[in-house]
Amino acid sequence: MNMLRKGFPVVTVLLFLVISGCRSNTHAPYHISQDVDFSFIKNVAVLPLENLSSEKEAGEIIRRLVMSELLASGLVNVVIPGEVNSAVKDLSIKNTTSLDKKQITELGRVLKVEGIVMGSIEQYGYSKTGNNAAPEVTITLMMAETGTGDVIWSVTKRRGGSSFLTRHFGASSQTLSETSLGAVRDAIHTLTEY
Amino acid sequence: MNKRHNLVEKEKRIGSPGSHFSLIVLIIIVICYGCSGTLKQYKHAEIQTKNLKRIAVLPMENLTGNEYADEKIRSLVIMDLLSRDVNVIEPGEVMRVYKELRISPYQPVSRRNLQNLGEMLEVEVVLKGSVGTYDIKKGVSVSYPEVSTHLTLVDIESGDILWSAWHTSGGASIWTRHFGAEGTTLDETARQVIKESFDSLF
Repeated sequence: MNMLRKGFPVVTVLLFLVISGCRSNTHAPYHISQDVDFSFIKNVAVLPLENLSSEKEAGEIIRRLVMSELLASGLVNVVIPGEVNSAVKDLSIKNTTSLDKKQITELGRVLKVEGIVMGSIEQYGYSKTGNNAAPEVTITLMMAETGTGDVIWSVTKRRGGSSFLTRHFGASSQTLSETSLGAVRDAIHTLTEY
Repeated sequence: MNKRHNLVEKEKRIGSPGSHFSLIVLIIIVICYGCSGTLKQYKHAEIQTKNLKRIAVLPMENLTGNEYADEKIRSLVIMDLLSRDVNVIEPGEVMRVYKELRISPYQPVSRRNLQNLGEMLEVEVVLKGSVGTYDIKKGVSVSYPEVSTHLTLVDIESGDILWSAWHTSGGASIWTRHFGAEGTTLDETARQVIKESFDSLF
């Protein structure tokens, strides 16, 4: 009985940790071409992302994060955004989210890159559940190889919502910036890990 | 009596269950709130900070809803660089050259325009960046500052990014949320973000 009483606080804490740590572990879908040698991709350009959220600048915010994470991986060089925007304008590309193969190869030639990253932001903001408002970010990223114009990597990542501790104990949830970082980092990780 | 004395002595040596529990909770709290890894930086292999003696800080892109966030962050960047003995081109001179070259100051700059800017300002490296968040956010029961920035050092000649740092800071601390303690101000948070970003470079 004494041992039960002594062990009870420790067990309770461990239980909380387990419950708060467990979340739906369904792996977000991602695709990566098995027959592509990614080591030849040394330079990439990140195109302006399509913004499907209600936050006006979500596209550029996530775009900067993607650039930062790609650079931080140490695997590729990233073209400065001004140069990308200039090339998109010079090639009269109106919509950077639905490029055909010819446009992809042209961009690759002009920007001197082997890969082009494009995508969209489905959600960027706060979602209300009960009395809590938690940040939520959902992004889709793709990489096309400029030699062939084929999509060689794509991923969709969602991050955010209220944790168990936030909902029941008012614990701090991440900020929107941290949530965005987590989503982008998880997404890029599926590429760099390969 | 002896048995009771022995039990008391044993408890003193081992410690009471209450103190163990408090220690475990404290360790968990420290782990949960101590771990943060929001600064992600990239440094080109050839960059040498001792050669960064003269830099032009270009106008920042403002991706926030705060009208003056870009200028505030730019000022903090300049002050931090000056405190590290880096010679920073006067901001008015930078804007004059932008006007002369007819470049929009708050948009991303192409390689060609960067080269023109560099030639006229007589610098080899420029610092360009964006402010993603600069705001007081409202949590469940508290308000807290949140700042996020992306800073890059770009080589004028090649247009290559020599250094990149994305960083964010903010959120309500445990003391603010549960004990009503005063948190940092927006300005203090911004200074911290800039300082920590440059600490990773210098």
